[in-house]
Amino acid sequence: MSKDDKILKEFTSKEYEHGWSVDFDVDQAPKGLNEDIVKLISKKKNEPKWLLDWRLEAFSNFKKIKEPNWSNLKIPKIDYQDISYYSAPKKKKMLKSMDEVDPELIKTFEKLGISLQEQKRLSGVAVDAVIDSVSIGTTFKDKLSELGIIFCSFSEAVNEHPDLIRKHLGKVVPTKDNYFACLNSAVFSDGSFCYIPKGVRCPMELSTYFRINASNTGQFERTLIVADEGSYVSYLEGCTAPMRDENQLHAAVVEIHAEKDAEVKYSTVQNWYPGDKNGKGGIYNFVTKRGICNGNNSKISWTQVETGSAITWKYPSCILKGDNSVGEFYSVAVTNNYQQADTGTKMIHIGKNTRSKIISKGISAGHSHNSYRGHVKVMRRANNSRNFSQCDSLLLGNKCGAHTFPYIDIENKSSMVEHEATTSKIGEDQIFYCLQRGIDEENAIALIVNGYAKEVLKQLPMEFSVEAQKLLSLTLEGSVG
Amino acid sequence: MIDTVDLRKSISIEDDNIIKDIKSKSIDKLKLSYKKYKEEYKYTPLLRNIEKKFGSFNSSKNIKKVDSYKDLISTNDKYYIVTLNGTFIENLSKIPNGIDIKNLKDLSKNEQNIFIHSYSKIDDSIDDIFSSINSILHSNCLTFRIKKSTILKEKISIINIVDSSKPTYFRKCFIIDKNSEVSFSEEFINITKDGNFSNSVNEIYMDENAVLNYFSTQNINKNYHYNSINVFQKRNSTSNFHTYSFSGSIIRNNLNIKLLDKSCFANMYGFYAIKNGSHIDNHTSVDHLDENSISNEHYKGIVDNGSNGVFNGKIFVRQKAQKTNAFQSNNNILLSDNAKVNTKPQLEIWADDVKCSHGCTVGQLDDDALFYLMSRGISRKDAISLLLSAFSTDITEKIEDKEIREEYQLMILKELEGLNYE
Repeated sequence: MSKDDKILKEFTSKEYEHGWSVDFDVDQAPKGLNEDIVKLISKKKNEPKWLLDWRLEAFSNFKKIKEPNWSNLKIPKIDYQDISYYSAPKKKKMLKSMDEVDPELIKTFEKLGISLQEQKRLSGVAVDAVIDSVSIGTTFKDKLSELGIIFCSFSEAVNEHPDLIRKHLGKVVPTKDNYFACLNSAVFSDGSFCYIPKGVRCPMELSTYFRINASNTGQFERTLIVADEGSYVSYLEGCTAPMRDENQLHAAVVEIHAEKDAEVKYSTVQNWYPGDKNGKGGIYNFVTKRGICNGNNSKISWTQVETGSAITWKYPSCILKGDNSVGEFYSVAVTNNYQQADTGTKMIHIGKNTRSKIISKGISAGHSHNSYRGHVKVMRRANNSRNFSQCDSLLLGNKCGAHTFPYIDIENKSSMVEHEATTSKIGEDQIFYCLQRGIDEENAIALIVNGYAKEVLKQLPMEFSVEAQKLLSLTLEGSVG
Repeated sequence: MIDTVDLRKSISIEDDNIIKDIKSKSIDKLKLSYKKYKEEYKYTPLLRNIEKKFGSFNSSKNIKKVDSYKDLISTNDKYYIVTLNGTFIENLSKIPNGIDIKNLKDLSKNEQNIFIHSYSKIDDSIDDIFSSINSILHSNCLTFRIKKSTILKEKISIINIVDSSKPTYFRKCFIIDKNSEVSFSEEFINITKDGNFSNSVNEIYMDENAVLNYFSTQNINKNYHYNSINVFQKRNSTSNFHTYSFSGSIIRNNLNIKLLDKSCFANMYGFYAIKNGSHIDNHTSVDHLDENSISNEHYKGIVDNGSNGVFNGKIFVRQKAQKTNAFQSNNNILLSDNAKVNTKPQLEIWADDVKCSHGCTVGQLDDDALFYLMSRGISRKDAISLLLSAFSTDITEKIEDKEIREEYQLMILKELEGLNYE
């Protein structure tokens, strides 16, 4: 066995670090999907009538649409009737302080290295922790509410700020958008809601940690972020899920509204269970993320580091409606073993002088397949719009695949669109250079890959960038060039 | 969906059993290719247009008198091959030594076997519905056999005459034997002006060390055209394709190259300058199946009022094809606000030791460059055509033969005069 093969084997045999599960007292709905389940979820959450109607509308659309088959993914048949669509830790009483949080839960976070206290004390990050679909502890709420910022669980927002929710829910991702978004709209259990009022610059990074915990429970999160005129917010989403043998379905929806002069920065680190080295198990991740730059000079920036999930189907998109609005997409997607990722973005230029930038870095190893799928559309009215896309792929080993599907549709003569993509392996000369400087091969590869992804990683907020770098080096150290 | 009963009826008149068999297999492929239609023809509504215009895919059975076309052939080329609605017209053609051109039906049993062995095997019938329809409905396959070690410096023109108000089908099969070198240029001349449809499928086999230069010129005004070229390359062979498109209601070009063996070269160059509602759709695919091959692709286009330019380039690098170099690039200039460009440069790679890249741009003329030229006393109009012709030079300079290169450069200059830049 050559050294390369040895390193490769080492790398591919690495077990998932966050693979454990904690038994909570779970209130679970019976398996199956029908109108009664939708009504049950709505009733459990004490939702108003309009929201139930909205869910039912989405459900009727869901029944009409076929499962999409255009992606470059091999998706095993999903039995939507064999999933329980609601599970919540039994609510004993409303929690006000950290002391009241289930000690088991606190332990869970400590294992992940994201203890609430720690976060609260040291990093100044407000955490809206979501375990199995229901928010349990929300911190820093008082501090945020002084500024008029609303950051709470979705169900809380439905009851306390119904007008805001009603005004914005489903406006970017409508109830008939796509198969998985419809499913989410019909059965979403909880999520986060965030509102930044006019002219407010959110003083801290807002973050949620999602965890799928109960076995066989699809997690259907709904996130809604509304940034009013002149406001700024940076939102973090991080995910880890415990090791399971059966596949779990995750179909989340994230909607962002950016009004005039507002800026929203949305960062994700996704490290769900990718399945074992034979491709067994793992999370199916079908996410619809979309933001709209409603007002002039607004900006939405997506940053994602995707290392987990057996199947990833995710296209964070920007609709650049306001003049001079800006959309950005930075992505690092790493796949190993039998993971499959089909990810990318959509940039729809509608307003004048709109700009978008896409930087996508794909790294595939093992038997995995990594696809970039992007769509840049410049509408007729979008004068002087500008797009730059770069999507690079790195292949480690000769059994993996890298695919690029960029769609570029231009209808305006004054716009400039550039797209470039490369596929390659780590250059022997690069490794040689490092070796010659006394850096061993393993470190050299880690160095090169980190450098390769740096353009994206540096977009992450400090708190996250550490976790992301840890994840990347964990996945990639010892990989073969 | 197309009526298969009708199609089955049309092949029942075929007298050759082998061909009949191949054709009926093609009917089975229709279903497969129809499935892919939606994605493959996302921007090009060819099927809808043809069905609306002609109602049926069947071609006319009337045989025209050939003598009246004599005046059309005003080619400067030394050698030319003339076909009318898909039928080879031998007495109007001039064929050089070293090449055998015959109808598939007229070949001796032995020769026929060689062609049948390859015929309909590599066309894109599975992927493209128009190729499957061609496989079923063409009346005659014209075979070209370039004999071993034949080196022909002169270009051979293939002149296809379309004179029918019904769809017409052209089918050609080329076998280029070892160590031979040949150049073809193909064009379609439309006699009927009110929108006819020509559907052409070519299959080209290149044996070891063979060299092929292939030029297509498409200037067909308000007509519809489907053109599929399917190439199969053996070791050390080199193919150079040059496609120039200037007008057409809808033109769809499929260029599929399979690099079956080690050390193959494939070069694809294309240029389109379209205006007044023309629609050009270039779909190319290069499939690297073995080691050490190189493919180069460069398409450039200028799209003016009401026109739509579509480009879709696919590069496949299979697991076995290590040390592959594949490059692809597509550049577009939009001259008008109601012009459209849809482009999709696609890479699919399964091997790790490769160098692949693609690039794609959509933009406009550089105002600074325009200003510079105008400040030197060059009129705006001249400056524009100077810049546009410079844009096309990247493509034309790839033509090795000086005479042919100049011929195409002149052709482009003439076409560029008709474009406006606001």
